Amino acid sequence: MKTYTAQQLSELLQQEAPDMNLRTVRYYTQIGLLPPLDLFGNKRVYTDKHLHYLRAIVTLSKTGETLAAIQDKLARLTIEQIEKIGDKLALYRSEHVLENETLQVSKDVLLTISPRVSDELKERMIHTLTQMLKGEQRP
Amino acid sequence: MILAKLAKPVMEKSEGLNHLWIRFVSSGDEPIETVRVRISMPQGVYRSINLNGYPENGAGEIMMERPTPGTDLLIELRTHEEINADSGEIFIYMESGDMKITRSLSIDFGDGDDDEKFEVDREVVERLKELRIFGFGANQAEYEFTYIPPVRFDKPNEYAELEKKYRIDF
Repeated sequence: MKTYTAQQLSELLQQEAPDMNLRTVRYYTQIGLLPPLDLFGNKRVYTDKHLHYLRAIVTLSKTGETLAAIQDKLARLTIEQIEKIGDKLALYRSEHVLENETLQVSKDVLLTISPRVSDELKERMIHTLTQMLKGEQRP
Repeated sequence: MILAKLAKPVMEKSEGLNHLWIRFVSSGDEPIETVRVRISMPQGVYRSINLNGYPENGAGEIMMERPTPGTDLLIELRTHEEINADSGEIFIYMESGDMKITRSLSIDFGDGDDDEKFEVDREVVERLKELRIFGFGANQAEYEFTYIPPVRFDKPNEYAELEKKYRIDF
């Protein structure tokens, strides 16, 4: 089991969320937003579970949710589902929002493309995705 | 008139985070117009701009228009480098016209490694969680204000007697 101190966890998260810091990690623990710390020997430690929770909380906070709503939502999810929410954190980085283009291919599929992708390739990707989705919908 | 509570009665001496919750519980007989709120922290404790979005002037006074019972203020408090004290006082000064109220709250400081010291007040935490803000403890503008009450000097001057004799109060 991988274990972390609050300092280590905050340094890890800062790479993805610069506003995250030691104070915030400790505080979220104290106010009950994170699961209780695990016991490792005679020490209480953070684990990957806490890392996934924090990434998910940061991601959902960026959508404008209150902490109460976030806590309520996460309580109903498995740890695997919580981990998947945290994986979307990169989508909310400001440089990503400012530089990249997000297209809605269908009501279920969004495509985010960097400006480094050529227009021709972009069109082929949209066309291919659309065809794939049409193929799924055929009886 | 007001109630004030801290999210944590004990705060970390360094790299600590806390919240101060101030609530108006009654407005007295007269409706209140503008209220100016000033907060003084112990040395080494910093506060952010209020989390409710009330305007603040250059002197760090929070301006609240016509607060009613139930109106509240949430202030984030932080420590940075190690504080060289085990406790301190937070002072809250409120002024509206002739009305002046002062409240004080004690706060203790502890080492960050001992998690069991840092219990939280559920009521304050529930209120915090209702706010739509991200990143407690994130980089924000901060104030560290210490209130110094004005000192009156009774200094006699050569015109004092003449002023007493001839002064006209309109």
